[in-house]
Amino acid sequence: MVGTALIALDAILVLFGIPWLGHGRRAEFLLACASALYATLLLFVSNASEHSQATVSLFWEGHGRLLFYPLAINATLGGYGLVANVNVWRWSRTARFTGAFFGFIIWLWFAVKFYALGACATPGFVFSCVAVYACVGIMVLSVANVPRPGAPGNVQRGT
Amino acid sequence: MELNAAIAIAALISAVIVGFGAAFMGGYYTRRNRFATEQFEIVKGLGRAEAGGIRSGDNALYMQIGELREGIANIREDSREIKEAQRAAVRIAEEYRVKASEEHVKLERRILGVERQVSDFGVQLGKVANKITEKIL
Repeated sequence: MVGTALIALDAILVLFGIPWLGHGRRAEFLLACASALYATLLLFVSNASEHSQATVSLFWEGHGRLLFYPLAINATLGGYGLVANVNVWRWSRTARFTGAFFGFIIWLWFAVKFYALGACATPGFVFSCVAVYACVGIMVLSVANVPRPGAPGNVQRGT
Repeated sequence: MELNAAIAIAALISAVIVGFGAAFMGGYYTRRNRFATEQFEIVKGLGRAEAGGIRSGDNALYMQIGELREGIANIREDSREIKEAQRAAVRIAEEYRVKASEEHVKLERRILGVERQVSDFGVQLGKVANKITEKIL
């Protein structure tokens, strides 16, 4: 079952992903996916914010779903910026920079909140720290307009 | 709520500071990238001129061009070195002008083209240096 799933994933990557991967696009894509997934969960799972130590206080204050908006903005801008970079559409740099800017605020907020609660040994804290680092990198690269809009990927498929 | 709001404000301020830093670094990277691209074009042009020098049989000339090419390839954003390279290109062109022949005239044109490239490059680099100096001051 797992093998079949991996073969299918490999086929999808070869068909749709590989030609454009590389240059750090995958990291941007994963960050946008993480934000989009979390925003979706916050939208459709009524008590989603209760599940994390960082957001449980917001849940009990009745503001749990407020988190949806910054995450959705981050996912939308980051995702559009990435797709625009691949397809040479307008506002790619601006969208990537703004998305990473929002991402930096969100993930830094999570990291500091986890730290303030003494919950550093959690997957959420670790992911937030890595995401903060990645967002800084994306901001730098977007200002430098790297990768070049429309540049093909540099990932070679293994034999 | 106070803790959440305080962390959010701190994160926003940090993001603004980091955003400015990222913009500066991105701009610097762009300038470096442009420098490397222009340098590559100049070195490529000098490589062609060197090949022309070899074909013309003028050993001294192509050796001079070769030295200049290596010198420019090793430059790392130093306007003084760019000016020296520019002077060297002019000197080679002047020396070469004296012993002009039909084949040599073609080569001279190539060298003058390279000289112009080096000159434009030096001017652009000077502007970048001025901007950086203004920012530092």
